[in-house]
Amino acid sequence: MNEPNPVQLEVEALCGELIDGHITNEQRQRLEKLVQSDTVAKRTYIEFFNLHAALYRYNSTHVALPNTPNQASGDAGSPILGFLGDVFRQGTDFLSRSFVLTLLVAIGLPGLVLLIFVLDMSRQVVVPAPEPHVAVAPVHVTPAPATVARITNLHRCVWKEGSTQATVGAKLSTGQTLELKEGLVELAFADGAKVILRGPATFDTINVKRGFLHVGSLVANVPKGAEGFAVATPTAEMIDLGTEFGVSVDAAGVCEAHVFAGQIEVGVHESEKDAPGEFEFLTVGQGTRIEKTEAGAVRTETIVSAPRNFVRRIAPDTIAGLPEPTVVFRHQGDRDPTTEGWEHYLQKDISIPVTNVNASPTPKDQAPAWFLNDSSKEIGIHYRKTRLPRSLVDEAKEKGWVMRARVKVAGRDSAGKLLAFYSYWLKGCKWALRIGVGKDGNQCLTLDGKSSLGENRTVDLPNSRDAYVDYEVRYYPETHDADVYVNGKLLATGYYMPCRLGAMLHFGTFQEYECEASFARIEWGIIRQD
Amino acid sequence: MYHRAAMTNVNDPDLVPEFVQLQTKHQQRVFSFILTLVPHWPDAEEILQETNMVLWRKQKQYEPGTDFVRWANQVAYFEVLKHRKRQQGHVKQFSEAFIEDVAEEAFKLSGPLQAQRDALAACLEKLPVKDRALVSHRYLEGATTKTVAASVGRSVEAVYKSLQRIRGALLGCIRRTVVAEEGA
Repeated sequence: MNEPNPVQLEVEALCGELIDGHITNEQRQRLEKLVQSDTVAKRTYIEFFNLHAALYRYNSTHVALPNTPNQASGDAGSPILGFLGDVFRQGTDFLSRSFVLTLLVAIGLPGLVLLIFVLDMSRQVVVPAPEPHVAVAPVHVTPAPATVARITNLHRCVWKEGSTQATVGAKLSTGQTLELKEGLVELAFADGAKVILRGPATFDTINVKRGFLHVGSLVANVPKGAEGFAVATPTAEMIDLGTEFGVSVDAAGVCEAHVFAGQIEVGVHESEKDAPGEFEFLTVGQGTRIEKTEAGAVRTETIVSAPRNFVRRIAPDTIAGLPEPTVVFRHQGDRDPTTEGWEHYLQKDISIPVTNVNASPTPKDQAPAWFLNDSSKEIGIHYRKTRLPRSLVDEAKEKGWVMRARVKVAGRDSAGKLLAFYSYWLKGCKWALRIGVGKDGNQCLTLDGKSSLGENRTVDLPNSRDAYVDYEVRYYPETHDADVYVNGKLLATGYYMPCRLGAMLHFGTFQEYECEASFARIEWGIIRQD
Repeated sequence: MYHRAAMTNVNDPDLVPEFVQLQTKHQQRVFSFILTLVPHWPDAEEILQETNMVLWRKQKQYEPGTDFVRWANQVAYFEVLKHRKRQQGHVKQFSEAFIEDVAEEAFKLSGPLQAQRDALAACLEKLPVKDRALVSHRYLEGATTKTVAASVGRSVEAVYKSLQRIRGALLGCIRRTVVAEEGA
C-alpha cells in the first residue's frame, strides 16, 4: 500500500481523539459517517484498533531497560515456574488479567493444575519464538491486580472448606470466588453498589460493576451514580437502573429476580445461541423466575416481588452503638401504669367475676416493677394504649421505632405456655414479645410470625429463672420488619407478623394461664436521627 | 450449572488441552476484535472476560478443526451487544448499524489483521528510539496523551501530533510489510 490518503489520515486522527476520550459529538458522528460510507475508512478504523490493541499487548510483554535482555519471558529453569513467575510479575498483564483470571473463575482449583500444565505446553508448542527486543525506557512496573470490592461486614459466616476464608476489610479482585456455607457477607463494590450475599452461596466478583451468582441469594443496593451494576447468573443477567433488588439461584439452577425499589433490566440468556435474549424491565413489586427446561430451552414466568425472602441488611450483633429512640410511651418501675396514661383492661368473659387477679407495686425489698399476680385461667390483665396519634404512628413507620421491655415471668401453669406479652400492633403487621416459662424454670420467648429463626419459633433464654430479661425490638422502615435483641444480643432479624388491626400498644398477662409477671420497664419510641 | 459444568469439562482429557491452547493462542485476536467494536480499554477487557467465560462454558460446542477465531468472535460479538445494552443511556455509543457494519468487516479481515500484528515488531524496530520511547510511555496501562505529555515534559498538543504521526508511520510500515510478504 502506498502513502495514506486523506480519508485514512482523517480516520486515524479521529480514532486518536476517540482513544484519548476527547472526541466530540460532531467528530464521533463524522467518524461513524466515514466508516459506514467509505470502505477505506472502515478498513482504516479496524486497522487502527488492531494496532492499538497490539501496541498495548506488545508494550506489556516487551518493555525493558535499554540494552538489557528481555525480562518478560519465563524463568529459564522451569517453564511452569516461569509461567507463574510471569503471571506474578505481570499482575495486570493482558494474559494474566483477562484470560488466566477468567479461566480460574471458570475452572476452579482442580482445573488450575491442568491449566498450568496446558499453558506450559502451549508456551512451548504454540507461542512463537521471542519477539525482537525493543530497547526503550522506562521499565514497566505493573500495579497489583485491581480491587473490585471489599468485604464490609460478616454475620455468622461459615466459609466452605478449602475456599477463601475472607474477613472484614478483605479486598476482592477480579475473578475471585466466595464460597459461603452459611451466614451473611456484605460487599462494597468499588463502583458504589452494595451486595449482601446469603449462604449457602457461590459468588464471583467479576469487576467493579459486575458479579456472578452461581448459587444462593443476594440483595444488591445500588445508589445513584452507580447505575449499571449487574448480577449475572447461569441463565440470566440483572442490570440495575438505580435500585434495590434481590437475585436467587437454587441448586437446580432456577433463577429469580425481585425488585424492591426502582427498576432493573433482566436479560435472559438464550441457552444454545448465547445471543442476548429479550430484555425485560421490572419495577418495584415485580419479579421474574427463569428456568431451563429439560430440552434446554429457557422458560420465564412473571412473579410478584417477595422482599421478605431476602436479607436486605445485616443486623448488628449487639445493641451497642445503635441510635437511641425518643421514648414516647413508657411504664417505669413500680408506678401504676394507669397513672402513666395506660388504660387498664381485664380480658375475660363478662359473666366471670374478678377473683384471683391483682396488680400492685413489687415489695420494697425487690427491684421496682409493676407486679401482676394472675392466678386465674379465665382472666388476663392488660394495660394498653389504643388511640395512638396518627402523626406519631406515621412518623415511626417512616423513621423506625424501638420497643423495649424489662420483664420477669414465673409460671404457675404447665411449662411452655405463653404467660405474658408486650406488643405493638400496626395496621398490616404486629410485633409481639410473648414470654413463657420452660420445663427447667428458665423463661422462653416466642416470636409469632416470621423471622430469621423461622415461623412461630420459641427460644429458651438460659439463666433467666427468677431474673429480669431485657428485650428490644427495632423496626426498620426500608424492610418493614424488625430485629429482636435479648439482653443486648441479637436473637432474630426480619421479624414481623401479619395483622389486620392497629394501631395499638399493650402489655400484660394471657387470659388462659396462671402466672406472676413483673414489668420493670416498658418503652416505645421513635428513632429521630436529625 | 455454569461453574460445575466447566469443572466437568476440565476432566475431559480429549477436549480441554486443545481448547485451552486455542483460547490462549487467540486471546489477542479476540481482544482486538472487541476493542474495535468497543473502543474503551476497560470495557473491552470486561467483555473479553465475559467472552472467555462463555467460550469455556460452551467448549463442547466447538468442533475441532473449524475456525476457532471466527467462533470466538461471534461469541464476543454477542457479548458486545449485551454490554452495549447495559451501557445504554449511561455512555455515548456508536450506532447499532455502525457496530454491525464494523463487525462484519472485522470478521472478514481476521486473517489480514493477524498478519498486521505479526508485522508490528519489525516496524517498531524501524522507529527512531525517541519515537519508540513515546510509544512505550503512551501504551503503559492507564496512560493518556496528557499523562505522557507531563512525563516527557512536552505539550499535550505536541505529544498528540507525534503519536498521530507515529501511529500513521506504523500503520504504513505494517501495510507495506504485509503486502511485501504476500508478494514474496
